Amino acid sequence: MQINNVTIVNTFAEAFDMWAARLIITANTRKWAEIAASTAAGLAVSVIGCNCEAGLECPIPSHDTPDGRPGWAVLLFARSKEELETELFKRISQGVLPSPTSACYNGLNSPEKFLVGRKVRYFGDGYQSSKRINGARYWRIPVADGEFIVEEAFGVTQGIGGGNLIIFARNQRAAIQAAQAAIKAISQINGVITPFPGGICRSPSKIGSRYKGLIASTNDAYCPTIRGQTATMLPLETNAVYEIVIDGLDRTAIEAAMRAGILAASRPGVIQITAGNYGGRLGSHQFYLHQILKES
Amino acid sequence: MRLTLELFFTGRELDASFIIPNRLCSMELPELQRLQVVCDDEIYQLGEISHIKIQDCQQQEVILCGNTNNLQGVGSGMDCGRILVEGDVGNRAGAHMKCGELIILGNAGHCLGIVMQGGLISILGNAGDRVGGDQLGSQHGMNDGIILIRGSAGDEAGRKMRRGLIVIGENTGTYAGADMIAGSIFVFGCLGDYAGIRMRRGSLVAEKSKPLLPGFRFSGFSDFLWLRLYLKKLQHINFPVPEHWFGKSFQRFVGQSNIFAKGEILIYDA
Repeated sequence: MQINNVTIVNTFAEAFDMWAARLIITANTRKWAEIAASTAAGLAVSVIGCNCEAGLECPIPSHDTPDGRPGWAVLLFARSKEELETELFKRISQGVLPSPTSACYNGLNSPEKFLVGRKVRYFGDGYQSSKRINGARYWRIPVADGEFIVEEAFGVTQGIGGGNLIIFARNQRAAIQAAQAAIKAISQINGVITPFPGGICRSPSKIGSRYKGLIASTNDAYCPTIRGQTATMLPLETNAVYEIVIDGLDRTAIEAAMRAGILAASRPGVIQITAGNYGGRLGSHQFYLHQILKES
Repeated sequence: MRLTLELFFTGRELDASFIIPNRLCSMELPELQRLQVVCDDEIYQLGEISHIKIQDCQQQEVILCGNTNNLQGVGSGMDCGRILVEGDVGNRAGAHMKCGELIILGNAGHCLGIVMQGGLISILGNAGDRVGGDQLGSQHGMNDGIILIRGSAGDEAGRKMRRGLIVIGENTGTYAGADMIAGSIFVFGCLGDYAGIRMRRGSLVAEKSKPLLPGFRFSGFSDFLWLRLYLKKLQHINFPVPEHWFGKSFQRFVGQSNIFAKGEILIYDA
């Protein structure tokens, strides 16, 4: 299949079940809401080394947030419920709570909930209090600029992590322009995040390493500067590769994001777009690129 | 089913505690007409004191019109459905209410929503004393639910209130929030004397207030975010809220029973 002279490889992205939560973080201004949200989602690019994957999903206009202030939605994904709960607690208490004027609310309507706010409240050292509104409890924790409000219960659901696209381009400039175009298109889709820096990963990894104890290492087959030393997967004219990893709340959201990403990234300078998989042995979700594009 | 009762009993009081929407809406017309009702210590049949009209409706709804001001305990103990009163009601409306909606287009007497456990009471007019309070012998007052009063409330609003929300569009009498255990009372007018006396927890929020009791200690100013959560909810259910309350500072006073008490009174900082 070709789009704008870019070959779309007939392969699939292999993805995994993950547990997901969605936070609504608000503040007095859009800027402070974004700072709090970015801090909460900081250093959460891959479960390989960060315990969770997180990112900013979308801005929320003030009329749609619980307190009528500008906000951002943050999605968090982890391999197990326990890890997700731990990361939620850490990121709310260390990322959102200290951020000026911030507040943190549950953004996922799910029957299964973690009572993370109930733990965060202890920061109040006995001066905390709560209010129950519309059946939800909100903790008021005194802080030095007033009060930090955190919802007691955060919904969790089964999500999908590891949807991906791999862009092969003639040079680094063309590759990054295509990847940025893909990220811009994906950012319009609700229910997904691209957790890597700026949404783009330049270090696709393979499982294992020649060094003992390292669970993942550089995917040498995708590294253009060592193509003479390894069994390369790169077409001859490829000199730069970027991967875009997509985590989503459901299959439909990931499919929509991959479709938008492929269409946006199919531009001059790009040679082919493919996806990473392990032959279907590891992940329970397979996203076939051709099938996704045919459904559009 | 929508049941309309046009009441024409003119005596002193009519015990309306039989008006439970799911109970009445499950009855046929002859059964309704024979239903026994206590009026001024005498027993009447419902058909003798009202015109009964039945309409199809998905909701279980009872509409009370005509001479409603002698209704005592309307909606007390109701656990689902909706009661709409097109006029004033007497005492104990919505007492011990568990769920559902009680809408009163006029005024209500004393003890509105006492020991209420859930649901919504909405009044267009004024309410008497002890709104959402306790009844003699009970350990606490209102335990959950929402009471919305467009006008004013009498004395002891929210006495021993434990949970839930009372919103008063205008003023309160004396002793609002007395012995309050928790919950929230919003007063968009003026809070009366002795507000929050012996309160342990909970919040009284008001546009202005009579001089507070000495046990309340000034605790700064802030734009309290949790107020916005409530105000947005009130806007959502079409209760008129003062726009100037959004994003403005309130003075906070804490007290009152002892130094460890966590009750608070928030007064709009004009």
